[in-house]
Parts: sequence; C-alpha cells; structure tokens
Amino acid sequence: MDRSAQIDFLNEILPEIQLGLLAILPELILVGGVVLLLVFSLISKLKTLSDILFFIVLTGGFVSIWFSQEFIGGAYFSGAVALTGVGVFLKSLCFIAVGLTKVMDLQIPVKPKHRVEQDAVYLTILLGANFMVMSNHYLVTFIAIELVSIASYILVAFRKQKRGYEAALKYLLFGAFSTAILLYGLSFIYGISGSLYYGNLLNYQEPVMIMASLFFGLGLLFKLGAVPMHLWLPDVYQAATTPVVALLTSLPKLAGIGLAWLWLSATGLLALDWMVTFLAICAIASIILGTTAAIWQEDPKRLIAYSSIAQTGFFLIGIVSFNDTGLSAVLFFGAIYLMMNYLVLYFIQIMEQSGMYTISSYSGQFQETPYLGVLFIIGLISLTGLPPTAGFTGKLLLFTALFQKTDHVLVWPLLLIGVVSTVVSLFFYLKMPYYMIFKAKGDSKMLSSKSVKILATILALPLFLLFIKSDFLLNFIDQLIFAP
Amino acid sequence: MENQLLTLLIFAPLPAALLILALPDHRVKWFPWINLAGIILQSLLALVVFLQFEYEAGAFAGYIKQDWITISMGNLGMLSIDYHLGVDSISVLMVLLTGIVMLIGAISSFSIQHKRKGYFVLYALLSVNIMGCFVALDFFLFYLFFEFMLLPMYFLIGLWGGKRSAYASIKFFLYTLLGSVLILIVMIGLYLSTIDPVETSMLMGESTTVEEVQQLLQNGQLEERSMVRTFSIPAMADPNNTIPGSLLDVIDGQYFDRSHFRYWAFILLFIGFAIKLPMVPVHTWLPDAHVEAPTPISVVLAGILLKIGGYGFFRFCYGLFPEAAYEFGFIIGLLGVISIIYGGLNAMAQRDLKKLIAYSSVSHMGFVLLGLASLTEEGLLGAMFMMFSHGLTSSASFLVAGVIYDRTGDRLIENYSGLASQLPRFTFLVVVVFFASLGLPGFSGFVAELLTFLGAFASAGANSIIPQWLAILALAGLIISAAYYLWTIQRMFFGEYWIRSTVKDGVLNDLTRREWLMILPLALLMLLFGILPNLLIDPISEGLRVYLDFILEQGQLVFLGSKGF
Repeated sequence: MDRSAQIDFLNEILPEIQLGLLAILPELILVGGVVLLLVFSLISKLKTLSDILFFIVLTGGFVSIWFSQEFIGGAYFSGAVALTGVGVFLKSLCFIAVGLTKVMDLQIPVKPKHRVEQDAVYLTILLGANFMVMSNHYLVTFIAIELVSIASYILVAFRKQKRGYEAALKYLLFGAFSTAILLYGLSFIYGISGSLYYGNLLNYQEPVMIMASLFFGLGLLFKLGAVPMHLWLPDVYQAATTPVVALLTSLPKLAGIGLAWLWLSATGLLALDWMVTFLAICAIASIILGTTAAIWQEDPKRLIAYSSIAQTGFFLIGIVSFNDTGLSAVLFFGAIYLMMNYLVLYFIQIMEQSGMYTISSYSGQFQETPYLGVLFIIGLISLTGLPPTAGFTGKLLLFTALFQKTDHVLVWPLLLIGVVSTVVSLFFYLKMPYYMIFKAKGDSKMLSSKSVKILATILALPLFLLFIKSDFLLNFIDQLIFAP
Repeated sequence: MENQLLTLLIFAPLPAALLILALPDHRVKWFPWINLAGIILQSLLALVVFLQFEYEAGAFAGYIKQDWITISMGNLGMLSIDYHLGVDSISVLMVLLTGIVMLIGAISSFSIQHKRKGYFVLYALLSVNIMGCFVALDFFLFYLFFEFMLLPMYFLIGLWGGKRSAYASIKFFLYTLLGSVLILIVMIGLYLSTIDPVETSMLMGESTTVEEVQQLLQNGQLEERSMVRTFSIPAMADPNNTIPGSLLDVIDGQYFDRSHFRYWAFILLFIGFAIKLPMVPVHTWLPDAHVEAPTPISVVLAGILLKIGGYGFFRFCYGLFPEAAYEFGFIIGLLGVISIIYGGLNAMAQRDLKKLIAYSSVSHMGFVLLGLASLTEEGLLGAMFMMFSHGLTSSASFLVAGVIYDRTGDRLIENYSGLASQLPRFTFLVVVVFFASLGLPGFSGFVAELLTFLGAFASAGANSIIPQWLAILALAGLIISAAYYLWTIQRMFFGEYWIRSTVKDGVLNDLTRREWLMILPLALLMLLFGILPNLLIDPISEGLRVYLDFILEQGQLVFLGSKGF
C-alpha cells in the first residue's frame, strides 16, 4: 500500500474512530480519571481534594452515559464494541455502585494509607465492567474481565491485614484458574469459527462447540459467583472491607449478567437444550446451596456471601428463560438488587464500626435506633422477596419470565425451588432483626448519625416506591432495550 | 370520582398508626385509645357496608377499579395491575366479622403494658391488611395484603407473646409463607393466562366491544401484542377471558405429568390456603402460635386470620377452578372430616386451655371444608356461617382463657377445680361461650353445624360428591366436641373449689368491666345469630346460589380432556 492509499484509508476510518470515541466517552472519562488520580497522589497530599476529583470524574462519566444514548444500536471500532440499551442501563448501575462504595468508604473513620490508589482501582474496575457489557469481541471481553478481576484482587488485599492477603491470594488463585478455563474455551471458539467477533456458534461441530462454550460459560459463572464457581466467595467477602464486599457482590454480578446475556443472544446458544439444562442446573444448585449454607452462618458478611450465591441463581432464572420479560426482569431485579444489597451491607458496616461483628452481637440494638432498624428490615424483606418491597416485584417478574418458557423440563423444578427458597431465605434473613429485636441488649451501642440515616433512607425509599409504582422503572427499561 | 367507601374501610386505622408513630413516648397512655378510635371507625364502616349490601347479579358493592401499575411487556402486550375493590356475597360477612373481631381485639389490647408504641402501630397495620384481603378483587392486591399481614403478625406474636414465642412466631411465619408462595405460583400462571377484556378493548380502540374482544380471543384472532393481561379476579373467573392455548386454558391448556395444569394449580392454591385455615395435616403451627400469642392476638388469629383460608377457598380455589373443585370434592370433604375428628380428639387430650381451644379451631374449620366440598346450597351457607360463628366463639373462648391467665399466669386445666363458686359471673359466660361453640340449639354454632350437615347429607343425592358414610362419620365430631367442652367445664368450674398450690392463689376476682365489655357482646351476638340466622343468611343466600350454579355448571361441563387427574 503506498502512502496516498494509506491516507485514503485513514480518511475513511477516521470518522468511524471519532464516532467510536464519542460512543465510549464515559469510558474515556474514566481512563482520564484514573491517570489524573494517580498523578494527583504523587504531587499532593490533600485527600479531600482527591475525593472531590473522584466524584467529579464519576459524575462526568455517569452524565455522559446519557449523552451516549443516541449511539445505542451501533457497533464501533470495527465492530469490537457494541452499545446496546442493556449495556447503557447496566453501565449506569455500575456507576451508581461505585459511587455508593465510595460513600461507604468515606464513612470509615480510619482511612487506609493508599486511599487515592484505591480510588483509582475503583475507577478501573468500573472501566472493566463497562467494557464487559459493551463487548462484541472476545479479546475485548477477555481484557474487560481481567480488568475487573485484577482490580478485585487488589481491592481485597487493600485491607493490609493477614486475613485480607490470604483471601486475596485465594481469590487470585481461583480467578487465575477460571481465567484459564475461559481462555481455553475462547481459543476453541476461535479455532472452530475462525473469528474473534461474537457470532452464531450453532453451525459448528457439536462436541468441540459444546466444550468451548461450556468452558467460556464457566469462566463467566466465576464472575457471577454461581455454583460451581462459587468456592472463593465466602472467605473473600469475610476478609474484605464492607464497602468492597458491597462492590464485589454487585458490580461484577451486574456486568457478568449483562455480558452473559449479550454473549448468549449473539451466539444463539440458548436455542440448544443442553445449554438451558446446564444453566438451569447451575441456577438450581446456586439457589439450594446459597440458601442452605446461609442458614448456619454466624458472621453477617458470610451470610450475605452465601445469600448472594442464591441471588445469582435468581439472575440465572432470567437468563434461562431468555425472553423479553426475562431481560427486563433481570435488569429491574439488577437495579433493585443493587439498592437492597447496599442498604443491608451499609447497615452491617455501621454495626462493624460500633464493634459488632457477629449476628448474635446485634442483640437488642433495635431499641437504639428503631428508624434504622426498620430500614434494615425493609432491605432484608426485599432481599427475601416479600411485598411490599420491590424485591418482590423483581422476583415476580423473574418467575413470570420463567413461566413463559414451558418447553423445557427443568423449568418447573427451577420455579418450585426458587419459590420455596424464599421461605428458607426468610429464616436466615430474619436472623439479624431477630437478634436486634428479640434479644436483650449487650454492652455495645450502635452508632448512628444524621448522615447515616439519610443515606439509608435514600437506599430504602426506592425499594418501597418501586413496589408501589414499579412501572416507572420498568417502562423506562423497556424503552431503553426495546427501542426501535 | 368513584365511591371510595371501601378505600376508607381498609385504611381507616392507618391514620391512627401514623399518629401513634408520631407521638412521643410519654404519651403512651393515649396509644390504645388512638388505636381503638381507628378500629372503631373501621368497624362502623364495616357495619355500613354490611347493612347497605344487597345482592345484584354480576355486580360488586362499593366497586372500585383504578389503574395502579401498567407495564408494557414487549411482545406480550401489556400487564395491568389495578386498585380493584368490591364486596360480594362471599366477602360481606367476612368484612363484618373483621369489624367485630378487630374491635374486640383492640379493647383486649389495653392489657398490653410494655413496648406499647410498636404494638399498637402493628395492630393498626394488621387490621388494614386483614380488611384489605377481604375486599381486594385484584389478585396482586390481595397477595400484597395477604403477605404483608405476616410481618406484623410475626412481631405481635414474637414480641408480646409467652416464653417460646420466638419459636412459635417464626414457625407461623414460615408455614404461612410456604403456603403463600404456592399461591404465588398459581397467581403468575393465572395472570399470564387471562386478559382483561375491558382494557383490551380500550387498547384496541373504542370500536371493539368487550364481547367482540372475547370472541376474537377465543377464535385465536387476537394478536398477542394487543392483549392486556390482568390480575383481576372477576376476569379470571370468566373462562371467556382465558387465552386459548395458555397454561391454564380450560380446553387447550397444557399438561404436566399427564395431568392438566389447572389441577396442579388448584392443588397448590388449596395447600396454600389450607395452611392458613388450617387443615390437618398442615395445622401444627396453630397450637404453638396460639399458646404463645398474647390474648388479643390469639383473638385476632382465631377470630379472623384463619377465615382468610376459608375465604381463599371460596374466592380462589372454587371460584377460579370449579372443575377441579368438582374433581377433588371427595378428597376435600375427607380432609375436612379428618380435621374435624383429629382436631377434636386432640382437643380432648390437651391440658392447656389455650391449646384445647386451638385444636377445637382446627376441628371447626373442618366443617368449613366439609360444607364447601358438598357443593350444595346448604353446605356453602353452612361453611360461610361456620366461619362467622367460629369467629365469634373462638374469640370469646380465647378471651375466657385470657381472663384466667391474666389472674394466675397459668392455663393448665388440671390446676383448677370448682371455679364456679369463686367466679360465678365468669362461669356463666364460659358456659354460654362453650355451649355456643359446641353447637347448642339457640346459638350460632348450631345453625352452622346444622346447615353443614344438611349440605353434606344432601350432597349424595344432588351431586354424589360426599357419600353418606362420610357425613355420618363427621357426626362423630359433634359428640367429640360436646365431650371436650363439657368435660372442661366440669373439671375446671364444677366440684369443690381448689387451685393447685403452685398457682398464685387469692387473686381470682370476678370479671372486670373491660372483660364484660368484650365477652358479653360476643355472647349476645352468638345468641342473636343463633335465634335469627336470617340476619346473616338473607343478604348472601342469593349470591351464594348464583356462585354455586356457576361452579356446578362449569364443573360438570368442563372435562379436561379424557385424562382426568
């Protein structure tokens, strides 16, 4: 190619690149933010300023998502990145998650030493999550997943305690293992299809294609924290700081669900019986294992860890059903899950700051601040999935989606187990309020301040309001994902 | 603007709850009065609803239907959840009973001494939810009230109850929740299979009438995109609104394990409400909950909460799945008789007075099942009357047990003897209440049992659901109930005055004015409705006849394939 042809070629693709850069504006802002924060940490010791900078970057990215709405439906960078309504919605949820994590972080009185670096890692994990739900190319997927994973290992280790290192190492080993599996599957996919773009896999040779997609799927399940890739979860959650736990229970899960949905719809794999069977079994196993193991937990964070495995099972219900209702149900439930999860973990953090680390130490704390106690109960009831909370609406929609998929034999057991697990989960979710309300008070006293109450109210109120008028959010989601 | 009487009826106690919540703690003396004011308002409105009620074919009294949640479901058209209320012959007695029982409970609640704020807020919330259950005509709305009732109840039993109340309250919660998630499954299946013809026609434009919409639907010419799926119970009851080929369609519905989904749906619903009723063998939460609950909550639990189970049979199981009701009639009747006899025998064996009354509730609720299963006019009336009558008698019985417990802190029957000499007025009331419970002529319990048996015996000739021998077997229940009530009276009240030395002695005063105020009106009502049962029967008999005709017609016409269950 001579020089003029090269320039012609560049002229040709330059507008496309420009368009692509506009489409990924939120991510560019994040990248800029990471660099800015790291440079800032070198030249200045003013931590408050860095906090402000962090929130400016975050808000800028969040706002720019809404400007990028007009790019929905397009593929950019030669088709490596595709922006969908699902992606836009999940991206904004991930932004909210990181923002809430930072707010929770700010409430910890003892600040970690490398706070600014931690902020940079927060932005990095967000960057990875964003690309996970926009990817249309296996390499982008791989890099995005690795970005999220590596950032997660670092966040767990940031606590700088023996337990934190131990958990981080465990996490790292499991993560590396699952990455290897994912990569192995990916290489097979490339081998049979000859392309790294997402594409229909149905036409390829059966045994290799099955193996490839199962391996890739297992790698994704690790991010979701679903059985059988769940073993790392309880120890890691127990060791990490509570804001990080909140982040790890929501962000990778939301991004992973989005990625799984986009990948499955691009490859068309859910038209195959064995794929549905595989996912349904994973969902059933996650729900059963998560709920039964959570019953016996004494540590609140371990309890949340196991229950989050069960909640992943509910996300998988939406994927198994794989229809329009399923998609909007998954997104709705994702938004609700984000709020209730943060509400409950925020409460657990307050308790930890008051020196209460086990469920039995919560005894009698309801009397201290009944208002916070009621909000906490709302969060737990919502996680259980009872009215009048949006958690109920979310599960109702997920079951509705499953109901429409009557052509698979595992649908009914999955439905029954999902529904009955609600009863079991009530038992362990109520354990914390049970100690708080029914048991006599110990020495410790729960801290609370006006700001704590305000934040908890902000998180709890939508849970109630989105039950009363769930159509606000649902119709918004529908507009986003079914827009012509 | 529609008539908002029923809205007012449901939410009357809510301002009281909010007021109690807002008041500072040193106003604690006001709380029971504020709560009582809210409940009195609700009871008066319930009375108004009852007195105004007149049967009108195919219509509901105080009907309200307003849009609440409308969700677009992509290719599946729309989903509509409505704020949909109304009272008909099935619910009108329950509304009245709620008014009575909640009022008595509110008076009884004056004895609650600690953590009053929480108690009265929860009590007011509970009465909102119970009333809501009986007037909701939208399944989603019903389910909301049905579930949200559990949480206040859990705390009311757990926090203000006896020693093992934590165990009893969680057991109550888990059992009932298990029942309600089964109901949830059916609810999803039903709304996916039903359209609201009115809203669908509105969506399609004014030119299409409701009948045309139903015609189009049944011919399979209605596009999926223009359907409005609904939670409306009246719409679900009309087979013309069922989407052909959907899960719960009568004709083309789908099968699971060779049995029609409608049968499975009926079974799930039945178990769900049977737990609430409760029916043997899913009754074990009841004695525990009753023994541990404080007296006013026992009153509410036995008086009205159990009736939601019976009401659910009427409204949902039988009203929506008549053919399955027909198919399973014998089994339901059999379960009813088992409940009658097993509950009665258990009651006889109890040493704790509250447990005895709890098991007698199980036995009495068996009559509801039997009357309903018979699918005769008398049977249905009997079941309905039994629910009402039992609401009065069981409330009074628990108050009676509460009277003794309040004075001595002990409820064991064997610890007392000859109380009549010490407490003559109390003994008089106890005898009246127990006689009304065991069905002595002149009391409401007698009318209820009589109607039920008339129905059960007529069933063999009319529709051959309940065989004669089963009805005869159920008669044994009468003897058993007479036995345990009379035996209890004899052991505790007659003979020489004696109290076991371990029980606090010397505090056995006769009834206080408040206790009179609670038990006497109930006793008078038992007598009133025993002598003049028409006061209750006349308003509902026409409506129940139409309801029965619908079930019989649907139940006999529809054969779900040749396969049966």
